[in-house]
Amino acid sequence: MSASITLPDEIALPENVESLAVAVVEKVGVADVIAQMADQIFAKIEACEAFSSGSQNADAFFFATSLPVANAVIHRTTPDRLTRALRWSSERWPAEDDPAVPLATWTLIYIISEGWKRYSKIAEKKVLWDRILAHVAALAEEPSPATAAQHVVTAPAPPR
Amino acid sequence: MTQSVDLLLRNPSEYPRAGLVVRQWKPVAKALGVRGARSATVARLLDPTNPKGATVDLAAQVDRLVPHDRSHDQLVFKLDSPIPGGDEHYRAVSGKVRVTAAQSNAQPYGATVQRYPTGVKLINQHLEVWLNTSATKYAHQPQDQFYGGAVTSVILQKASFPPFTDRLECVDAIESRAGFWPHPEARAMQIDRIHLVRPPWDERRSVDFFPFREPWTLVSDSTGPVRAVATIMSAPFELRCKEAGGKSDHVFECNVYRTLSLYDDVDWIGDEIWVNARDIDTGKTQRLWFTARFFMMVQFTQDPELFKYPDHPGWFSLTPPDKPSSDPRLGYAFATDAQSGAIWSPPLDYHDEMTKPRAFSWELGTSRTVHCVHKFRCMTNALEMGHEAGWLWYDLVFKRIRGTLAGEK
Repeated sequence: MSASITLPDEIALPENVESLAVAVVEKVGVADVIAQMADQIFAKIEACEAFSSGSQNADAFFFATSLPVANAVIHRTTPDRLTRALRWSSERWPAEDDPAVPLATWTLIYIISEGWKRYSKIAEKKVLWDRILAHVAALAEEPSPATAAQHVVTAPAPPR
Repeated sequence: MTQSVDLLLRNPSEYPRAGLVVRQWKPVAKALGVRGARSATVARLLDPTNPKGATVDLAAQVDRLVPHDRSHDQLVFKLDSPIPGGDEHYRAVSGKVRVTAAQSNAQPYGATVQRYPTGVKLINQHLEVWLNTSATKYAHQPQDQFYGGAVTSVILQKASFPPFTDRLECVDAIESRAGFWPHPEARAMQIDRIHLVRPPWDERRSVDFFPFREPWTLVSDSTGPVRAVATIMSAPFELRCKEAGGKSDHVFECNVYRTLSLYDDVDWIGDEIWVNARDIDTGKTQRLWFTARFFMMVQFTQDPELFKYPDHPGWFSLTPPDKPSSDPRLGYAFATDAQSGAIWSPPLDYHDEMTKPRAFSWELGTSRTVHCVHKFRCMTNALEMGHEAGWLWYDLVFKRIRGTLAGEK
């Protein structure tokens, strides 16, 4: 999605997408972490949007930069809980090579959903967060968000 | 007084090699007839068989690691080009350099050292390393006294991850990749235990000391064109052991010494450790045989991969699994001339449930001076880091190039 995209008047995530994101965050046990670090995390998501907007493949750039944020968040849970969540992820998405990727992807969807709920009522932030949510909406249309995310999570590679 | 003295270069490989040469300075200074010389210039003879032939100046320096103890002074120089291969027993001479005494080290190229009240920072083109001398790390947490002598920050200067960071903090790479602060207790390269063995006639046997709980002292730092070095000393601890054939105790005041070196334009960290013991009665000092245990708390995800040959204790590497969620795929390579034992994760005496997968410890074999090399790298994998660790071990520890005086073993 580029910055010039025309957004629908009403934008929201499908209910099943949002509920799965909530379920994943509960499995991982990072809802409190996200709540406590909300300001910091949302600022990073906005930075990802600013970095990716205007580029030809804005969705890919957005996820390549924002998924590490979600990945860092899921690594803030307890080791035991993360182990259980990874096992659950392997069973839930058996086709995924890396069970942490679906967890990070759905945690990112949760983060963006929470951020959008907070900022969509604030005039100065609404357009920005609508654009951010639109990235996720595009991802949620894929058969498996995690599979879609996996293609972009490692790019772009940094120089040595 | 001799004007200059020649050092014979011995390359233990069968193939040409360049690189660094580190040796004790005191015998060279003695051969030069200049006891107080604080530095040196080194020139390589282009034709080793022609003493009057052309030479090329090398980057060189002399470092005083311990004030008032010249036995630890080191001459170090960097070869400008590969010297021919020799033999593995250091019998063949592959080249010759000429050493001349100098007043002071030349200006540093890229490796520098900065002193602070609570630690010392070593910086070069690739790395920024913070060596914490204070037992604490945060002013608001004075009760957390376990950072003494730890490296609490290793920054890869050229690892850019836009839009969050253009430098990667290795002690918690996954957080740093996303622009977050590292885990507050993250640290690496910490000597957390020193094990000393009493003589066999002393029934008290061995004893452990834990130097990380006390502040360390920066005893010296030095820079030059080849490297930046800093030497720190642990708080003193007392060792009592029974005299041979007697009943009374000898009392020694001991300190752990540690020299970290960051060379110009390299991405690894040199490390030298020894334990000094001063007899309380006689004032005489000696280096003790000791075993050191390393500790680090660094994020390699839930499932770190260890690359270590069971029958090869000289080196190992740690990496996260080669998966997208391991980004930025931080790897750690370790090499030593003391034998590295099993790597424990978590260590047997580690009790923090939250950070258990990040905690690693390994004990080295008994030695009087331990030399280690540490390397961090991002966007790597187990195979690459294993190769790096093995190469560091061979090149810098096991079969390093030596410079010897004529007649010197």
